Amino acid sequence: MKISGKGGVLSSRHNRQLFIRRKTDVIMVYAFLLVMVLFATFASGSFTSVRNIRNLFTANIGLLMVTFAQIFVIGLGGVDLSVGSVISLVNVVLITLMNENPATWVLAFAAALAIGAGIGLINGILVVKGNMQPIIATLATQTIFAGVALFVMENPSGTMPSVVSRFIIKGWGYMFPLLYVIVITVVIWILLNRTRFGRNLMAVGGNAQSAECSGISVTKTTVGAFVASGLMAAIAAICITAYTTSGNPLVGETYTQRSITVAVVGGALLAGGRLSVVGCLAAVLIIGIINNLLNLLGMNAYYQYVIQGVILVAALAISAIRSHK
Amino acid sequence: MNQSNTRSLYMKQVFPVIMVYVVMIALALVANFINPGFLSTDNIYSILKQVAFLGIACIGQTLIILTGGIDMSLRYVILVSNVLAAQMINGAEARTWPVFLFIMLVCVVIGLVNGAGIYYLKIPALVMTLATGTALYGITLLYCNGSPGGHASDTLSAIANQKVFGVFNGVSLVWIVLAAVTIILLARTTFGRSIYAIGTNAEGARYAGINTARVTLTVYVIAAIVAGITGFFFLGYTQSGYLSTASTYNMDSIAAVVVGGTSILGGSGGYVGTIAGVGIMMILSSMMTVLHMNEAGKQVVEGLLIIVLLVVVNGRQKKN
Repeated sequence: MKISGKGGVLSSRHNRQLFIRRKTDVIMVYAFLLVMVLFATFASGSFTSVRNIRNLFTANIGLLMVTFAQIFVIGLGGVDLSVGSVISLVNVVLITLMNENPATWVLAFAAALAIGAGIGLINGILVVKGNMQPIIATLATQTIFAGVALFVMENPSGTMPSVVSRFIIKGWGYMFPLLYVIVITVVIWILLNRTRFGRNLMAVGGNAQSAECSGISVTKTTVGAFVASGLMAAIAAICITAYTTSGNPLVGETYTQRSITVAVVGGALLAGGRLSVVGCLAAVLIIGIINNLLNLLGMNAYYQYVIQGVILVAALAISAIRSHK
Repeated sequence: MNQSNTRSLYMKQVFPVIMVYVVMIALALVANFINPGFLSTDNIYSILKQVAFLGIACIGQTLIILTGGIDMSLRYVILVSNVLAAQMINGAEARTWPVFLFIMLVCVVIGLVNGAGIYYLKIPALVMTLATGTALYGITLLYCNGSPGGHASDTLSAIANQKVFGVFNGVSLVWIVLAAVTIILLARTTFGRSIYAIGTNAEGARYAGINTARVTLTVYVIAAIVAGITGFFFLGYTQSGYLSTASTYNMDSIAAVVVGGTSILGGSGGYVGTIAGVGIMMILSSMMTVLHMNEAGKQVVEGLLIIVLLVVVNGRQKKN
């Protein structure tokens, strides 16, 4: 079984080999990231400037958070197509509710988390009780909540109070965003790797039937994963709104595809049962560096799509060929 | 197989399809009740004109979903074809059909790339088509430098906009022909049966002597070709190329196929149901336009409809 013998137990040579073999995907993602960083450093003198590193970091916080939302459902063996709509809806709700009065900030953030968790709950119930595949259930909710977002705000308008957006993106000399990114990453890692919920999630993703047989509640685990996904998408929306600072009912559209790309490049198995939080970090940086570098080199930004597509296929092809041997 | 077994199998396969058609007809009658004149020849003509595009594109999505895959590159293949056609034809009558052939060639290559990645490299269809789709989007943007130029030729406009036999236009006739071919292909040929076999159990199909490589690759090539046809004729409808062409078609086509009773897991369903699925989506959308519902309301209703139809109509299709 995929979940047995996870990390920590490196007592024997056999276990160590097993560990390396299991982590090869992640190691390769980091190797690729290293190559990218070296290439970027040589290709552009300003890549390593403090200013650029800050830009690279702040521009990709949102994508990292959406990817964390996505991996809960990918771990189950599904995909969550609704994350983009959650982001759009939370974005317009935040902008609509927030004004200079700090009390509205609390209300807006509470509403954001409630919306995320609520949509996650609806997805989970549709999958479990409606007997739908995750991709179909979230396709339907994606359409619905994209509509609701347009209902709340028809055209892009409004801004987030600059005190709030500046704090979320630049607070404490960039230490605040760094802090919450680290905290959230650690929490997600622990949740998926060191808790019963995480193990159950991997087991359900690996094989739902045998998970059920070994006493795991597939229902609870599935609903839990969707709620976690929705909550993370709401957090992503807060970060994205703080970064763009404005209200836009279509802001989330591109994030669904990009989050799937990042999760897969980061070593997640779409069939479920295997994913890597640590790999996601590297994958977000790889995608981020591509865009950053095209920008620095003054190249046509349209190349990013072609390169993303190629990297996605290459990452999967390498992993497929390796596991085939 | 004894007779009662055959009957229950028949019911399991045919009942959902009948239900989808019942829903479609009921919706059409409701629409006609709300807005008398909905079923007038003029309105049917304008609905058919729009529905034909999604209908043609859904042929590929149906075949791919039947094999257990999914096509997320659909809208981008339509976009590539649409932009290529607009820029290369640029109003010149003589270039219309040579450009069409060229686009078909491009589509064959796209289909082969998709199919090869999925079959030989064992990349999940969702990711493979997402990757080719993203790359195609980038290539299109680079090709037209961010804003497509050119416009349709007169022939192309006529195919999309001229009435034939009262309710049809050229595109809907093309759809009818392609639909008939698809239905026969699925129901009456070895190739069609192979698609179902692969969708039910790919490994088993291979052991049963089916050339799964050839069938899978062919399915993806067909899907790219019909998407290319959609994009090509779309130019006649829109007159010039747009980057937002068919931007909702990935989701719309998956919804139409699944609402039409094809299992997203592959192996069961068919194009007959998809036609009704496409019809339902289009009647609903046209009904909401008549009721002056805004885009927000349309999307909410469409999403709710998918859920209701899947839970109520197809609720009996329990996973095994």
